[in-house]
Amino acid sequence: MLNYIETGRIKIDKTILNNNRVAYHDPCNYGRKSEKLFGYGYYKEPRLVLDYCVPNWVDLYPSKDNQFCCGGGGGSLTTGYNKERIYYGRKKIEQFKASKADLIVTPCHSCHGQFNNIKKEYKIEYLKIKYLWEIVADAIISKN
Amino acid sequence: MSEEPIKISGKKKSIFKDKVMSLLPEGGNLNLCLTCGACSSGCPASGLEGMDPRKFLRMASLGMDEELLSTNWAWMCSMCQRCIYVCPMKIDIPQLTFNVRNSWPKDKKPKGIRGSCDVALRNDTCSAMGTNEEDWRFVVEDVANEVRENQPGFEDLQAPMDKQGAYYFLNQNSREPVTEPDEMVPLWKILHKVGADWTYGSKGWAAENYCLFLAENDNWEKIIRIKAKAVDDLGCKVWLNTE
Repeated sequence: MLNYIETGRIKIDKTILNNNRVAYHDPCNYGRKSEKLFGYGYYKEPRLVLDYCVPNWVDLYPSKDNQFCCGGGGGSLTTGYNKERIYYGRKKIEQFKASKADLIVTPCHSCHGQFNNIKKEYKIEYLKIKYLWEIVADAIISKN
Repeated sequence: MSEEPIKISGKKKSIFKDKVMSLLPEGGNLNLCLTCGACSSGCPASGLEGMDPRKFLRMASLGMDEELLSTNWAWMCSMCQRCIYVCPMKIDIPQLTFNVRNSWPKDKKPKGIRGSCDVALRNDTCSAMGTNEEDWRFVVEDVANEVRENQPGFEDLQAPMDKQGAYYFLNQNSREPVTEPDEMVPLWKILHKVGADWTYGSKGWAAENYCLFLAENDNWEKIIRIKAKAVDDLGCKVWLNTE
Protein backbone atom coordinates (compact mmCIF):
# COMPACT_ATOMS: atom_id res chain seq x y z
CA MET A 1 0.00 0.00 0.00
CA LEU A 2 2.87 2.31 0.91
CA ASN A 3 4.45 1.49 -2.42
CA TYR A 4 1.22 2.33 -4.27
CA ILE A 5 1.15 5.75 -2.62
CA GLU A 6 4.86 6.49 -2.98
CA THR A 7 4.90 5.61 -6.67
CA GLY A 8 1.79 7.68 -7.34
CA ARG A 9 -0.41 4.77 -8.41
CA ILE A 10 -3.03 6.19 -6.09
CA LYS A 11 -3.42 9.89 -5.42
CA ILE A 12 -4.28 10.94 -1.90
CA ASP A 13 -6.33 13.85 -0.65
CA LYS A 14 -4.78 14.55 2.75
CA THR A 15 -7.52 16.95 3.86
CA ILE A 16 -10.25 14.32 4.41
CA LEU A 17 -9.40 13.84 8.08
CA ASN A 18 -8.51 17.49 8.78
CA ASN A 19 -10.93 17.61 11.67
CA ASN A 20 -9.96 14.34 13.32
CA ARG A 21 -7.32 13.41 15.81
CA VAL A 22 -6.16 9.96 14.82
CA ALA A 23 -4.17 7.39 16.84
CA TYR A 24 -2.56 4.21 15.58
CA HIS A 25 -2.68 0.81 17.29
CA ASP A 26 -0.06 -1.86 16.42
CA PRO A 27 -1.61 -5.35 16.14
CA CYS A 28 0.60 -8.09 17.60
CA ASN A 29 0.48 -9.94 14.28
CA TYR A 30 2.00 -7.02 12.35
CA GLY A 31 4.53 -6.18 15.05
CA ARG A 32 5.76 -8.56 17.73
CA LYS A 33 4.65 -11.81 16.11
CA SER A 34 5.97 -10.87 12.69
CA GLU A 35 9.27 -9.79 14.23
CA LYS A 36 9.62 -13.02 16.19
CA LEU A 37 8.60 -15.35 13.36
CA PHE A 38 10.04 -13.63 10.34
CA GLY A 39 12.63 -11.27 11.82
CA TYR A 40 10.81 -8.09 10.79
CA GLY A 41 8.07 -6.17 12.55
CA TYR A 42 5.89 -3.81 10.49
CA TYR A 43 6.02 -0.71 12.68
CA LYS A 44 7.33 1.85 10.21
CA GLU A 45 5.15 1.15 7.16
CA PRO A 46 1.69 1.83 8.59
CA ARG A 47 3.01 5.03 10.15
CA LEU A 48 4.35 6.21 6.80
CA VAL A 49 0.95 5.46 5.25
CA LEU A 50 -0.65 7.61 7.95
CA ASP A 51 1.85 10.40 7.24
CA TYR A 52 0.56 10.46 3.66
CA CYS A 53 -3.14 10.35 4.53
CA VAL A 54 -3.67 12.03 7.89
CA PRO A 55 -2.67 15.58 8.85
CA ASN A 56 -3.03 15.01 12.58
CA TRP A 57 -2.14 11.58 13.92
CA VAL A 58 -0.38 10.50 17.11
CA ASP A 59 1.12 7.36 18.55
CA LEU A 60 -0.43 5.73 21.56
CA TYR A 61 1.84 5.34 24.55
CA PRO A 62 3.40 2.82 24.82
CA SER A 63 3.69 1.84 21.15
CA LYS A 64 5.34 -0.54 18.65
CA ASP A 65 6.76 -3.64 20.39
CA ASN A 66 5.57 -2.29 23.74
CA GLN A 67 2.05 -1.71 22.46
CA PHE A 68 -0.68 -3.14 24.70
CA CYS A 69 -2.65 -5.94 23.05
CA CYS A 70 -6.28 -5.15 22.19
CA GLY A 71 -7.44 -8.17 24.18
CA GLY A 72 -9.45 -9.64 21.30
CA GLY A 73 -6.71 -11.87 19.89
CA GLY A 74 -5.83 -15.49 20.50
CA GLY A 75 -9.48 -16.42 20.10
CA SER A 76 -10.56 -14.22 23.04
CA LEU A 77 -13.57 -12.93 21.11
CA THR A 78 -15.05 -16.43 21.08
CA THR A 79 -13.96 -18.03 24.37
CA GLY A 80 -17.03 -16.71 26.18
CA TYR A 81 -14.95 -15.01 28.90
CA ASN A 82 -16.44 -11.66 27.98
CA LYS A 83 -16.22 -9.95 31.36
CA GLU A 84 -12.54 -10.85 31.47
CA ARG A 85 -11.98 -9.69 27.89
CA ILE A 86 -13.52 -6.31 28.68
CA TYR A 87 -11.39 -6.00 31.82
CA TYR A 88 -8.34 -6.84 29.69
CA GLY A 89 -9.23 -3.94 27.39
CA ARG A 90 -9.04 -1.32 30.15
CA LYS A 91 -5.43 -0.55 29.28
CA LYS A 92 -6.40 0.28 25.72
CA ILE A 93 -9.11 2.62 26.94
CA GLU A 94 -6.57 4.41 29.15
CA GLN A 95 -4.24 4.75 26.17
CA PHE A 96 -7.04 6.01 23.91
CA LYS A 97 -8.15 8.62 26.42
CA ALA A 98 -4.58 9.82 27.04
CA SER A 99 -4.06 10.25 23.28
CA LYS A 100 -7.17 12.47 23.00
CA ALA A 101 -7.89 10.74 19.69
CA ASP A 102 -11.39 10.51 18.23
CA LEU A 103 -10.42 7.94 15.62
CA ILE A 104 -8.35 4.78 16.16
CA VAL A 105 -6.70 3.15 13.15
CA THR A 106 -5.58 -0.47 13.12
CA PRO A 107 -5.10 -2.99 10.30
CA CYS A 108 -6.25 -6.07 12.25
CA HIS A 109 -9.68 -7.65 12.26
CA SER A 110 -9.54 -8.87 15.86
CA CYS A 111 -8.37 -5.49 17.21
CA HIS A 112 -11.10 -3.73 15.20
CA GLY A 113 -13.78 -6.04 16.59
CA GLN A 114 -12.54 -5.82 20.17
CA PHE A 115 -12.31 -1.99 20.13
CA ASN A 116 -15.80 -1.59 18.74
CA ASN A 117 -17.08 -3.95 21.38
CA ILE A 118 -15.36 -2.44 24.43
CA LYS A 119 -15.96 1.20 23.52
CA LYS A 120 -19.62 0.64 24.36
CA GLU A 121 -18.72 -0.99 27.67
CA TYR A 122 -16.49 1.94 28.64
CA LYS A 123 -18.98 4.50 27.35
CA ILE A 124 -16.74 6.15 24.79
CA GLU A 125 -19.03 5.63 21.80
CA TYR A 126 -17.73 8.80 20.15
CA LEU A 127 -14.57 6.90 19.24
CA LYS A 128 -14.43 5.72 15.61
CA ILE A 129 -12.47 2.61 14.69
CA LYS A 130 -11.15 2.18 11.15
CA TYR A 131 -8.91 -0.18 9.24
CA LEU A 132 -5.75 1.29 7.79
CA TRP A 133 -6.93 0.53 4.26
CA GLU A 134 -10.24 2.32 4.97
CA ILE A 135 -8.25 5.49 5.70
CA VAL A 136 -6.41 5.10 2.40
CA ALA A 137 -9.52 4.25 0.39
CA ASP A 138 -11.44 7.22 1.82
CA ALA A 139 -8.61 9.56 0.83
CA ILE A 140 -8.23 8.33 -2.77
CA ILE A 141 -8.79 11.01 -5.38
CA SER A 142 -10.89 8.99 -7.78
CA LYS A 143 -10.47 11.13 -10.92
CA ASN A 144 -6.85 10.45 -11.88
CA MET B 1 -3.17 -12.69 43.74
CA SER B 2 -3.59 -15.55 46.16
CA GLU B 3 -4.18 -14.80 49.82
CA GLU B 4 -2.30 -17.79 51.19
CA PRO B 5 1.32 -18.69 50.38
CA ILE B 6 1.47 -21.82 48.26
CA LYS B 7 3.29 -24.62 50.05
CA ILE B 8 5.22 -27.15 48.04
CA SER B 9 6.04 -30.43 49.69
CA GLY B 10 8.18 -33.36 48.65
CA LYS B 11 9.02 -34.18 45.07
CA LYS B 12 7.62 -32.39 42.08
CA LYS B 13 4.30 -33.95 41.14
CA SER B 14 4.97 -34.07 37.43
CA ILE B 15 6.65 -31.79 35.01
CA PHE B 16 4.59 -30.45 32.16
CA LYS B 17 7.19 -27.71 31.67
CA ASP B 18 9.83 -30.22 30.53
CA LYS B 19 7.47 -31.51 27.85
CA VAL B 20 6.85 -27.98 26.56
CA MET B 21 10.58 -27.17 26.61
CA SER B 22 11.32 -30.17 24.42
CA LEU B 23 9.00 -28.71 21.77
CA LEU B 24 10.44 -25.20 21.64
CA PRO B 25 13.63 -23.75 20.17
CA GLU B 26 16.01 -23.11 23.11
CA GLY B 27 13.32 -24.63 25.32
CA GLY B 28 11.50 -21.30 25.08
CA ASN B 29 14.00 -20.13 27.76
CA LEU B 30 11.50 -21.41 30.31
CA ASN B 31 14.26 -22.11 32.86
CA LEU B 32 15.71 -18.62 32.78
CA CYS B 33 13.18 -16.67 34.86
CA LEU B 34 14.73 -14.06 37.18
CA THR B 35 11.31 -13.49 38.81
CA CYS B 36 11.60 -9.76 38.11
CA GLY B 37 7.91 -9.43 37.24
CA ALA B 38 8.31 -7.21 34.16
CA CYS B 39 5.98 -9.60 32.31
CA SER B 40 3.22 -9.31 34.89
CA SER B 41 3.40 -5.58 35.50
CA GLY B 42 2.57 -4.81 31.87
CA CYS B 43 0.23 -7.70 31.12
CA PRO B 44 -3.42 -6.68 30.76
CA ALA B 45 -4.43 -10.20 31.83
CA SER B 46 -2.66 -9.91 35.21
CA GLY B 47 -5.17 -10.28 38.01
CA LEU B 48 -7.64 -12.41 36.08
CA GLU B 49 -8.30 -15.74 37.86
CA GLY B 50 -5.78 -14.66 40.52
CA MET B 51 -3.11 -15.28 37.90
CA ASP B 52 -0.40 -13.43 36.03
CA PRO B 53 2.35 -14.50 33.59
CA ARG B 54 5.07 -14.77 36.23
CA LYS B 55 2.89 -16.86 38.49
CA PHE B 56 1.85 -19.05 35.56
CA LEU B 57 5.52 -19.72 34.76
CA ARG B 58 6.47 -20.26 38.44
CA MET B 59 3.73 -22.85 38.73
CA ALA B 60 5.21 -24.64 35.73
CA SER B 61 8.70 -24.48 37.24
CA LEU B 62 7.50 -25.83 40.57
CA GLY B 63 5.81 -28.77 38.88
CA MET B 64 2.33 -27.63 39.92
CA ASP B 65 0.94 -29.23 36.81
CA GLU B 66 -2.53 -29.87 38.10
CA GLU B 67 -3.08 -26.19 38.94
CA LEU B 68 -1.31 -25.02 35.78
CA LEU B 69 -3.35 -27.22 33.48
CA SER B 70 -6.68 -26.45 35.06
CA THR B 71 -6.65 -22.65 35.28
CA ASN B 72 -9.03 -20.89 32.88
CA TRP B 73 -6.42 -18.15 32.63
CA ALA B 74 -4.86 -20.03 29.69
CA TRP B 75 -7.96 -18.95 27.73
CA MET B 76 -7.74 -15.32 28.89
CA CYS B 77 -4.10 -14.70 27.96
CA SER B 78 -4.22 -13.56 24.33
CA MET B 79 -0.68 -14.82 23.62
CA CYS B 80 0.19 -11.31 22.37
CA GLN B 81 3.89 -11.80 23.20
CA ARG B 82 4.38 -8.46 24.96
CA CYS B 83 5.80 -10.39 27.93
CA ILE B 84 8.55 -11.86 25.74
CA TYR B 85 9.67 -8.44 24.55
CA VAL B 86 9.81 -6.91 28.03
CA CYS B 87 11.50 -9.99 29.53
CA PRO B 88 15.28 -9.64 30.05
CA MET B 89 15.58 -13.39 29.36
CA LYS B 90 13.10 -13.51 26.44
CA ILE B 91 11.02 -16.28 28.01
CA ASP B 92 8.27 -17.64 25.78
CA ILE B 93 5.32 -17.65 28.18
CA PRO B 94 2.78 -17.47 25.28
CA GLN B 95 3.99 -20.87 24.07
CA LEU B 96 3.46 -22.21 27.56
CA THR B 97 -0.09 -20.88 27.34
CA PHE B 98 -0.56 -22.46 23.92
CA ASN B 99 0.62 -25.86 25.12
CA VAL B 100 -1.55 -25.67 28.22
CA ARG B 101 -4.51 -25.01 25.91
CA ASN B 102 -3.39 -27.95 23.80
CA SER B 103 -3.38 -30.27 26.81
CA TRP B 104 -7.04 -29.60 27.70
CA PRO B 105 -9.48 -32.37 26.74
CA LYS B 106 -11.43 -31.17 23.74
CA ASP B 107 -14.83 -31.29 25.45
CA LYS B 108 -13.56 -29.08 28.30
CA LYS B 109 -12.24 -26.34 26.01
CA PRO B 110 -14.42 -23.18 25.75
CA LYS B 111 -17.49 -23.95 23.69
CA GLY B 112 -17.46 -20.86 21.47
CA ILE B 113 -13.95 -21.28 20.16
CA ARG B 114 -14.47 -25.04 19.78
CA GLY B 115 -17.57 -24.37 17.70
CA SER B 116 -15.73 -21.89 15.47
CA CYS B 117 -13.06 -24.50 14.72
CA ASP B 118 -15.59 -27.27 14.12
CA VAL B 119 -17.71 -25.17 11.76
CA ALA B 120 -14.64 -24.17 9.74
CA LEU B 121 -13.80 -27.84 9.23
CA ARG B 122 -17.23 -28.54 7.75
CA ASN B 123 -16.61 -27.17 4.29
CA ASP B 124 -13.82 -26.03 2.03
CA THR B 125 -14.53 -22.34 2.48
CA CYS B 126 -12.96 -22.71 5.99
CA SER B 127 -15.46 -20.14 7.23
CA ALA B 128 -15.89 -20.20 11.01
CA MET B 129 -19.35 -18.75 10.42
CA GLY B 130 -20.30 -21.60 8.15
CA THR B 131 -20.68 -19.45 5.04
CA ASN B 132 -20.81 -21.71 2.01
CA GLU B 133 -19.45 -21.08 -1.49
CA GLU B 134 -22.79 -20.04 -2.96
CA ASP B 135 -23.58 -17.43 -0.29
CA TRP B 136 -20.06 -16.06 -0.44
CA ARG B 137 -20.18 -15.63 -4.23
CA PHE B 138 -23.58 -13.98 -3.99
CA VAL B 139 -22.56 -11.43 -1.31
CA VAL B 140 -19.37 -10.41 -3.13
CA GLU B 141 -21.16 -9.90 -6.45
CA ASP B 142 -24.07 -8.11 -4.80
CA VAL B 143 -21.84 -5.66 -2.93
CA ALA B 144 -19.65 -5.08 -6.01
CA ASN B 145 -22.78 -4.32 -8.07
CA GLU B 146 -23.93 -1.80 -5.53
CA VAL B 147 -20.58 0.00 -5.60
CA ARG B 148 -20.58 0.11 -9.43
CA GLU B 149 -24.06 1.62 -9.46
CA ASN B 150 -23.74 4.10 -6.62
CA GLN B 151 -20.14 5.23 -6.30
CA PRO B 152 -18.78 7.64 -8.92
CA GLY B 153 -15.29 6.77 -10.11
CA PHE B 154 -15.81 3.06 -9.42
CA GLU B 155 -18.19 2.13 -12.29
CA ASP B 156 -15.70 -0.54 -13.45
CA LEU B 157 -14.85 -1.95 -10.03
CA GLN B 158 -14.39 -5.72 -10.00
CA ALA B 159 -14.18 -8.21 -7.14
CA PRO B 160 -12.88 -11.19 -9.09
CA MET B 161 -13.73 -14.74 -8.00
CA ASP B 162 -11.65 -17.81 -8.92
CA LYS B 163 -9.59 -15.90 -11.47
CA GLN B 164 -7.07 -18.45 -12.69
CA GLY B 165 -3.46 -17.28 -12.55
CA ALA B 166 -4.12 -14.03 -10.66
CA TYR B 167 -1.04 -12.69 -8.89
CA TYR B 168 -2.70 -12.13 -5.48
CA PHE B 169 -5.06 -14.52 -3.70
CA LEU B 170 -6.94 -12.44 -1.10
CA ASN B 171 -8.43 -13.93 2.06
CA GLN B 172 -11.40 -12.36 3.82
CA ASN B 173 -12.51 -12.70 7.43
CA SER B 174 -15.91 -14.33 7.18
CA ARG B 175 -17.54 -11.97 9.64
CA GLU B 176 -17.60 -9.33 6.89
CA PRO B 177 -19.67 -11.05 4.22
CA VAL B 178 -22.08 -12.13 6.94
CA THR B 179 -22.42 -9.06 9.16
CA GLU B 180 -20.56 -6.05 7.66
CA PRO B 181 -20.34 -6.60 3.88
CA ASP B 182 -19.57 -2.93 3.16
CA GLU B 183 -16.31 -3.27 5.07
CA MET B 184 -14.93 -5.35 2.20
CA VAL B 185 -15.15 -2.43 -0.21
CA PRO B 186 -12.24 -0.13 0.81
CA LEU B 187 -9.60 -2.72 -0.02
CA TRP B 188 -11.32 -3.51 -3.35
CA LYS B 189 -11.15 0.19 -4.22
CA ILE B 190 -7.42 0.39 -3.61
CA LEU B 191 -6.75 -2.80 -5.60
CA HIS B 192 -8.97 -1.48 -8.39
CA LYS B 193 -7.29 1.93 -8.57
CA VAL B 194 -3.80 0.45 -8.83
CA GLY B 195 -4.93 -2.19 -11.32
CA ALA B 196 -3.77 -5.06 -9.11
CA ASP B 197 -4.13 -8.57 -10.50
CA TRP B 198 -6.03 -10.22 -7.65
CA THR B 199 -8.78 -12.70 -6.90
CA TYR B 200 -10.90 -14.19 -4.16
CA GLY B 201 -11.37 -17.95 -4.17
CA SER B 202 -14.68 -19.73 -3.72
CA LYS B 203 -12.72 -22.23 -1.61
CA GLY B 204 -10.32 -21.51 1.23
CA TRP B 205 -11.18 -17.80 1.30
CA ALA B 206 -11.91 -17.38 5.01
CA ALA B 207 -9.03 -15.64 6.77
CA GLU B 208 -9.67 -16.82 10.32
CA ASN B 209 -8.38 -20.05 11.84
CA TYR B 210 -9.84 -20.77 15.26
CA CYS B 211 -8.35 -24.26 15.33
CA LEU B 212 -5.03 -22.47 15.90
CA PHE B 213 -6.36 -20.67 18.98
CA LEU B 214 -8.04 -23.85 20.15
CA ALA B 215 -4.51 -25.34 20.04
CA GLU B 216 -5.61 -28.30 17.97
CA ASN B 217 -2.52 -28.81 15.89
CA ASP B 218 -3.95 -31.38 13.47
CA ASN B 219 -7.03 -29.34 12.61
CA TRP B 220 -5.03 -26.12 12.46
CA GLU B 221 -2.81 -27.77 9.84
CA LYS B 222 -5.81 -29.22 8.02
CA ILE B 223 -7.33 -25.73 7.61
CA ILE B 224 -4.03 -24.28 6.40
CA ARG B 225 -3.64 -27.07 3.84
CA ILE B 226 -7.13 -26.54 2.43
CA LYS B 227 -6.41 -22.83 2.04
CA ALA B 228 -2.96 -23.38 0.54
CA LYS B 229 -4.46 -25.83 -1.95
CA ALA B 230 -7.05 -23.23 -2.99
CA VAL B 231 -4.23 -20.76 -3.70
CA ASP B 232 -2.24 -23.39 -5.63
CA ASP B 233 -5.25 -24.60 -7.62
CA LEU B 234 -5.73 -21.08 -8.99
CA GLY B 235 -2.00 -20.76 -9.64
CA CYS B 236 -1.70 -17.55 -7.61
CA LYS B 237 1.73 -16.25 -6.62
CA VAL B 238 0.99 -14.34 -3.41
CA TRP B 239 -1.41 -15.28 -0.65
CA LEU B 240 -2.69 -12.17 1.13
CA ASN B 241 -4.21 -12.47 4.57
CA THR B 242 -4.91 -9.18 6.32
CA GLU B 243 -5.58 -10.77 9.71
